[in-house]
Formats: sequence, structure tokens, C-alpha cells
Amino acid sequence: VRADAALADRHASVREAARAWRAAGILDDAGLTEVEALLPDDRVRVGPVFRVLLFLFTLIAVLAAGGFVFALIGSVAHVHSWPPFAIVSLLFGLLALVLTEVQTGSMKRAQGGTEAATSLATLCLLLGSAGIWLFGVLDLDPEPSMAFFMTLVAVACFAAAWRWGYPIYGAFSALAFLAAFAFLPLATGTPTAIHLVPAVRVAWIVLALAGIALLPRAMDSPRLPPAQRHIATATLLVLLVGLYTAVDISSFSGYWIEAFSLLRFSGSPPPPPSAPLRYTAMAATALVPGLLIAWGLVARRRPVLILGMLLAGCAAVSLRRFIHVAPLWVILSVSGGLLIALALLVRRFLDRGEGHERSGLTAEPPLEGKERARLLELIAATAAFTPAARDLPSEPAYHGKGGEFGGGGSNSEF
Amino acid sequence: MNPDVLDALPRLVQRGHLPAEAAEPLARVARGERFSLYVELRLLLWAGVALVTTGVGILIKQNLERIGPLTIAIGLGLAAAACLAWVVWHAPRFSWGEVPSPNLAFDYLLVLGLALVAADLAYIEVQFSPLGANWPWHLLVVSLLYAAAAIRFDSRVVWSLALSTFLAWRGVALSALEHHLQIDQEFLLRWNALACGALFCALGWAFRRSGRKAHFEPVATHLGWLTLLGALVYGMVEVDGLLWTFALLAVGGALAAGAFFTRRFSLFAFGVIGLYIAATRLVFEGRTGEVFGCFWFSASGLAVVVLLVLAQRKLKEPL
Repeated sequence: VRADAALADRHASVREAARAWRAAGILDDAGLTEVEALLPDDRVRVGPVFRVLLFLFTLIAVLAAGGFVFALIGSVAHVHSWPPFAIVSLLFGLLALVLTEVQTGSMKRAQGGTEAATSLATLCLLLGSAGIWLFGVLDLDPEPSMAFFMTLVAVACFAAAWRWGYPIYGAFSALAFLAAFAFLPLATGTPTAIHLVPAVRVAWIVLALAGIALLPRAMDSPRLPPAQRHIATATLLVLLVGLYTAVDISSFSGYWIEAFSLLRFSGSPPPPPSAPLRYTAMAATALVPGLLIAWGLVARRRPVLILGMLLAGCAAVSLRRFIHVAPLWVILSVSGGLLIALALLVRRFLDRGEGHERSGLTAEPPLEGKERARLLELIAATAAFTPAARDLPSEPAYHGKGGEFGGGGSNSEF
Repeated sequence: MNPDVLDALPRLVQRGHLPAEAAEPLARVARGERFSLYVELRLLLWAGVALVTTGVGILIKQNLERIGPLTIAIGLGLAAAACLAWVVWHAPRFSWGEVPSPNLAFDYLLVLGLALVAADLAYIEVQFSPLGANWPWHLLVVSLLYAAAAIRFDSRVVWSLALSTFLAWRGVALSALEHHLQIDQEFLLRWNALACGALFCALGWAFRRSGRKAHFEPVATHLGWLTLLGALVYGMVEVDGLLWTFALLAVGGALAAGAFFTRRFSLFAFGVIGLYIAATRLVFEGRTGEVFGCFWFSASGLAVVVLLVLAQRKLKEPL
């Protein structure tokens, strides 16, 4: 991130907080104006609706422009070899890169939609060009080369995230990195590499542990601007999902991570893991979300806490496949009731503390992000609780009794 | 933790922009020393309600023979009554204005109680068929019940459920009609969706105009326009002819223009997208080919971006 963009990012973070203070009545209008004057934001930003529209139509325009030249080469010039397509993709990717740099540089755009669209187009077109070159022009076998390509994707996404400050690219980068490890055993192309396959799961766990050890420092570092701190958070979340996938009992017994490599080497997945390993995986399935929730609460990391809660839901579904203690409707109704009771009890417990808090935890609404959460709630509730269409009662099907034909003594039937 | 806010707070206090006594609580929040679990608790409540309603659905489906229809109907009724009794007990006095929720769980227990009532009604209707061939009407009853509860207890979530259940009623009623009368369902569906969309928009307008439950207006208006535009797109795709395309063009254009002048940003987005879909359909009428297609999307995309930038400069949507 450029130095001027980083400073504007820091100021924008405080200005956003100040707007929430204003909404909560802590600041008055004059105070907000003074805060905004003290912390100027020189970036050209647009509101969320225009941002989405500008992003959408810019992406359509840039990618369709590339497609237009592709189509011209293919159908008008009748060129059917790979290199021209790779070159066109590369050139359009470089053009999109320049457009992004100009917008984030001299045009000082941020949260404007268009620069995000051109940055995404840059990634798509440059990586598309690399893909065409590797698998089309050089005609490499996709399976052994996939680990290399995924590493390339990870590096490109990380560079884009770091340069332009988009956390989503940090998440893509981590995802591609995990995928690169999953494809690594195929890179040697020899059947002996089958012994490397189990190491992939271990590697995902090690990567997540390394992320847990290193990334929180970046997430809290005052030296980094908010965008880069968010990139660290997004990366950590993907690594934690990787950790859960590596230990989850369903993934473990179904070889979700290794299936691709195993099928390639041996033609069939191995038998289910031994009982001790399965029990260990079951324990880990329950333990990992619990630990994440605890970590989120203790370290006050909301994204980790919410991820832990979501993974706890996944763990419940996963464990239910292997442990049957009661019919499904009982499990769902009782666990639903328990969740409601838990929420009410926690709220009451926290509310009765001094200043409506206990150990710094409170059930009072936060100053920021309340409206966004209410909108999400409205959409989620409407989607979840609207009655579904029901099957209509079917009319009795027609059953012919079989006709007869013929006459004059004929008794033929059909 | 927010180091930038932590860094800025002393400066704001020093320059007199923020009272010192207000800065300390904000610093505690920025340091993570005071951490709100409000969102997480609401997430738990939402998950709890969703699990209970799913569990009840499975119970009805799988245990009918074993438990018996009357027991299930009474059990559901009692559970619903318990939830709604809690809601009534905690509900603030009725007001036509916006009423703050008295409790974190208020909206969710209201939704759970009403969902259980709806499940009970549906179950009674299936088992005992009090409405006979008019069975889809129970969805209208549920929708009206939701609407009444939404207004009484001031719940926007329940209000959106009332509207979506009304749409579900029309969909199911049309399926039944087609089933019995062999009428073209597509035709009826489109016109019904148009009528529902118009009705929701009119409801929204009435709420705003009267100033009573004016905060329900955005839900009605947005759902109304989405339904209306969806019906027009559906007509454009399904019906061979340009009438629906022109209708979408006109409605999308009018919506975008109206929303532009009234500064309704999300409605402006609906209008622009409707307009673009209709224009694209018109341009492609009788034309095919990758080269032309890519050219159109590139050129039109660029044109829309330019127009949006100009519109945004005029409107200045808040961040």
C-alpha cells in the first residue's frame, strides 16, 4: 500500500469510528466536523450501492474487452493456436494493472468500485495468461503442474493484497497456498510420492499453527495500516478453516484432502482410518471450534470468535454422522432450545455485572456496525423462515384396463 | 483492537474535540478491554430458532404415526403459546412509531412463536383439512397474522416474513389453481407477481405517507420492486415477444430516474440493473456472435460506468 493511501486508510478508520460516536451521541455535529478536519481523507470514495454497481460494470467492461479481442483473433483472423491468446490476456492484464495503479495513485481512488474491479481483472487476466501459457502453449500435464500454478496464484494474490489492500485477496492467497500443498504429491509424477499424501494434512495443520503464532502480531500492529491488518486477519481465517478441515472427522474418514492424489496414484481411496485415529479426529472436531471460541473471547478477536461459532455448527453436523444419541428432530430441537437458553443466560449474566459487563464482556450493542448486522439479520430471517412451497396432493394416476380389439371371435388384448 | 483510534483519541482530547470522560470508554473499546457480544448472541438466537423450527418440521414429518396428530397439534400450540406469552409479557406499549426492542431475544422469540403457530396451522390443515380444497388460504391467514404481529410488536423481521409469506401464498394458490383448472401457470404467475409487487410498493408508500410505521416502508418497497422487476425479467425470458422487454425498459428507467431524484440508492441500483438487462435483450434481438456480444458488453459496461460516475457525483451517497 502506498504511504499516502495508508495514511488515508488510518484516517478513514478513525473517521468511521467518529461517525459511530456521533450516531451514539458521544460527539455532536461540530465535533464530528472537527474530527474530520483534523484527520483529512484525500481518497475518492463512493457509497456502498454505487461501489457495487461501479465494480460490476467495470468488471464487465474490462473482461468483455479482453473477450472481444479473443473473439476477433479466433473468429475473424482464424487463429487457433494458444500463444496469441496468452499474449492478449497478458497485455490486457497489464493494461488493467496500469489502470489500477493510476486509480489508486494519481486519481486517489479507494472504496470506489472501479479500482477494485480492475484489480480483480488484473489477477484474472494475468493468471489466465499464465495458465494458457503453462497448459496450452507449453502443454504441461495439468496434474503435476497444478502445485506450481497454485503457488503462482498464491503469490500473485498476496502481492495484489499487499499492494492494493484488499483482504479478500489475502484470503484467496491463503486458499491457493493450501491448494498448492494438496497438489504437491502429484508434482513428482512418480507413484512413490503416494507416501507424501498423508503429509498434506499435517502441512495444513502446521501452516495454521504457524499462522496462529505469527499473524496476530500483524493483526494488532500499529505499524501496519488497517487494510494490511485486515489482510492478516483474512489470511488467518482461511488457515483456521484449513486446520479444521484437516482434523474434521468427516474430512478425515472421507479423505477429502487426499482423495484427488490417492485416486491418481492408486486408483481407489484407502480403507477408513483405524479406530484410535477416528476417535482422535472426533475429539479434534469438537476441540478446534471450542478452542477458537475461547481464543476469540480471551483475545477479543471477533472474526475468530464468529468463525469458531460457525465451525462449531459444522462440527455438530459432522459428529452427528458418526455418533447417534437421539433422533435428528430431538437433537435439532433440543440444541436449538439450548442455544436460545444459552444466549439468554449469557445476556442476563453480563447485564447484571457492574456497568453491564463482566471481565470486559458486555451484551450491549456495539457502537459500530449495528445497522449492517440488522440488515443481514432481516435477510437471513426472511430466507430461513419463509414457508417453502409444498408438494401438491397428487391426483390418482390413470390406470387403463387394457383395450380389446378384433371382432368376430377374436379375443386379442393389448 | 484498533490502534489508529487509540492513537487518535489523545489528540482529539487534547484539541478539545472530545471530552476526556468520553474518551476513556472509547479507548477501552479500542483496546478490546470492553468487548460487545451483542452480534454473537443474536447469531446464537438466530441459530437456535432455525434449529428448533427445523426440528419441529422433521418431528411432524417423521413421527406422525407414533405420536398421533392431536398430540402434535396440541404440543405445537402449547410451545407457540409459551413463546408468544413471553413476548406479550415483555412487549412495550403499542406505538405507530419505532419502538426499541425491550430485550435481545424479543424479535427471535416472536419469530419462533409465530413460526410454531404457522407450523401448527399447516399441520392442522394437512391433517384435518378444515379448509378443504381452499387449503392454500392458510398461508394468507399466516401472512396476515405475521403482519398483525409485526405491527403490534414493531418487528421489521416479522414484517418481511409477512410479505414473503404473502408471496408464498400466491405461488401455492396458483399451483393449486393450475392443478385443478389446467390454466397456464406461467401467465398467472407473472401477473400475480406484478400485482404483488405493486401492492407492496403501495403499502410502503402508504406507510411513509401516513407516518405510521414509516420504518416498515423500506422492506415493503424493496421487496415490492424486486418482485415487480423479477416478474418483468421472467416475462422477458419466458415470453417470445418484445412487450415485456419494453415494459422492463420503461419500469427500470422510471425506477432509476425516480430513485435518482429521491436519493434512494438501492432502488436506483435495481432500476439501473433492470434497465441494463432490458437494453441488452433489445440489442441482442436477432443478433448473435461472440464478437458482437463481447463488443456490446465492453462498450455498454464502459458507458454505464461513465454514467454512474456522473450520477454519483450528483448524489454523493454517504459512505
